[in-house]
Amino acid sequence: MDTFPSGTALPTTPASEGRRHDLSFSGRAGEYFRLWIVNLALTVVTLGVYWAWAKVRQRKYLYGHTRLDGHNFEYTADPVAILKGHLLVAVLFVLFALSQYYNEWLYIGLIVAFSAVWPLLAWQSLRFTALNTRHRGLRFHFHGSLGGAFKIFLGWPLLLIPSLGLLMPYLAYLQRRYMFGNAAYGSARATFQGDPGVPWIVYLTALGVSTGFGVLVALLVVGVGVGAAVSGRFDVGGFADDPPLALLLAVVPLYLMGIALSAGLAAYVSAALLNFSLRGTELPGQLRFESRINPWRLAWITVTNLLAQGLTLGLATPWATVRRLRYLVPLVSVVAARDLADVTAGHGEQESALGEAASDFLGIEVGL
Amino acid sequence: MTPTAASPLRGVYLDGRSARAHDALVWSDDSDLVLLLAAREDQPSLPPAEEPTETRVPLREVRFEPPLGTLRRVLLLPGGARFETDDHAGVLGLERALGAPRGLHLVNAVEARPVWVALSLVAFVVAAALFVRFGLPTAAGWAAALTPPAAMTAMDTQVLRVLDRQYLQPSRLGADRRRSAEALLTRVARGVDPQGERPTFRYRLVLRDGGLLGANALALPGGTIVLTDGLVSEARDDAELAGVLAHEVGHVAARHGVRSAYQGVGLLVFASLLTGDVNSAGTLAAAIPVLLVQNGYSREMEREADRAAATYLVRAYGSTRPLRDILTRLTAGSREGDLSDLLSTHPATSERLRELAAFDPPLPARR
Repeated sequence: MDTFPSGTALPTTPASEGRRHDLSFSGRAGEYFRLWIVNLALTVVTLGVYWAWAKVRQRKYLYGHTRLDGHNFEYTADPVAILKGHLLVAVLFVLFALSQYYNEWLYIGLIVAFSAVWPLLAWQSLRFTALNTRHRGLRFHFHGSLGGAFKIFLGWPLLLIPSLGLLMPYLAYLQRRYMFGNAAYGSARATFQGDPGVPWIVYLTALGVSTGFGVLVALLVVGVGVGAAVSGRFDVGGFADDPPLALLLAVVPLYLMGIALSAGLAAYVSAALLNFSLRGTELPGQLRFESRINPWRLAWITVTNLLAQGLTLGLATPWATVRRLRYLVPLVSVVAARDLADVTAGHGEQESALGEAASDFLGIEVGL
Repeated sequence: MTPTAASPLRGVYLDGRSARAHDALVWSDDSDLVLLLAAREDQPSLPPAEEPTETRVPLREVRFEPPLGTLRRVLLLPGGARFETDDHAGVLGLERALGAPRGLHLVNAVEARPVWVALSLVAFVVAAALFVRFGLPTAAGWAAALTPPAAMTAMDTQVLRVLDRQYLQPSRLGADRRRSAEALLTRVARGVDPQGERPTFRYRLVLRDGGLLGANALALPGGTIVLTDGLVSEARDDAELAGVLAHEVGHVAARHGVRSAYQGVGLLVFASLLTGDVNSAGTLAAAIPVLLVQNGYSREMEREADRAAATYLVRAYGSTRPLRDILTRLTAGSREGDLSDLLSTHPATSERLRELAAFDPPLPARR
């Protein structure tokens, strides 16, 4: 037992023992769809201005239905701050997209500038999301340094090219260690103890699967190519452009399969790394995480979700989101040595919403 | 201190400084929100003899979180403290009594009623369709009209450089042929787009060996018209070549190049908006409609250019026949099918021929 007979908790209990609390998710697809579609309509009608409020509302719903020991999580971001961030990012994006028509060097220059700024945005995004996530009234924090962000999100990735991608698993380890090792709940700092070898196994598995499929697809493509009759005239340019129909019909399914496969493998890797992140994170003396998520199952859910979204031109997105969360959230648990209530607040200030807005707008995922 | 309005709200209080939750009763009196706190039953670690404590918060410092479906209502208190309750009606009463702003209540109400949700879906589809069909092209048109000539000339240089690097070779036509083609362009340009004192577009002809591009013509935004040797040889007489040039000049005068660029960027932004918080692979769902819409825009532009060419040809040569003839010859031998039309950037040739022919003046009555 971890309490005195009177009910007060024992002062020291190793984190490996203790009460297990499963997370739960009570969101429903129907409810979320209603929220999603109304907010989408308002966003389009207001030419995008309402999107900041819509985004916050959606997150509040999903966080609010995620519970741990009877208390839900909260997302407390200020929509106005996010709106300002959106506007700035939209303007920059439009300028960037148009620059390619005017001047090649400007376009390249902007790409380089963006790569340099990217770690700053990622760092801001981590801080912003953490500060605006609350549980039992306490904020989360992210204590990672900006220098660390540059090393993790720019420095090491640059080394991927000379190493021909072999450093990817090690980079995955470093990024998780940076993100989770610098996280805090209230005043309780987290540490990350993950084994650097685990990401290697994850990536090797993914590589193996993709190679197997790649061989299969290559055989199919050769078969189709030899069998197809290709029209002789290449292009009559400004006046007519009629690609042979048969070629189109053959290429499209292969292309879609390729997309499904790469999406599935990406989901597998991300799910396996999520397990790795959770299992390696601990608040010393207080709690640790467990995860029973099956990465292959989550990958399958992701791919079938994409299929549903594609077939419904995106309308199935809320259903897909809820389906994914209903699977993975209950499989995550917290093992607490002491009462979860025994945490005190840390120090925190309001953070700029720019990083959060940028990652929203361009769909950049710094994710778990 | 007796409560002023309805019965007190029962819920949970968190002080924002520790993770400990307290059962609480909340009500308002004339100036303050009053909270009566006691330990929760399931937290036996607190010393058992805890007295209920009372806290007061000035009413003007209380903020209400907007309602969100069935989630607990939250009152935000200074210092990061909060009070959560399932008593939706009670909180609503409190909000009304205090005159708190209730903007998002309307949204919440709409989300709760299936009829309004269905209307939202319809409104979304209609608004999106209107934007894509009219809003975006109009906005792109304005942006194109505002684009300074210097910028468009810069685009010419840039695009021509890319083309020369990847597709084109120096022309192999004789100097005579080149000069006559250049003169023809000057005539045609003056006819289709008679610019005034300070021309926006500098129409000039650029001839190239098109290689794989075959017989082709390309209009760049600043007025540079690129013709391949193949096309010049294919033209049987000046009238046919004039038809092609008039079509290209039509593209330039209507600023189709920059309009297309702006529309493309606009569509991309719009698609990003819609698929905002889905992972990047999910933008595939938006990519296919985007592709179809872009091609739709291009087809409309081709029609505009055809119309400009037809008007000029009828004025200068009496008929659209020269353009129709060369068009027929150039597209002879490639198949047409409904599906490929949808994906192609150009309307079907038979359709173009028909529309061009409609511009021809009626034949004089025969004696």
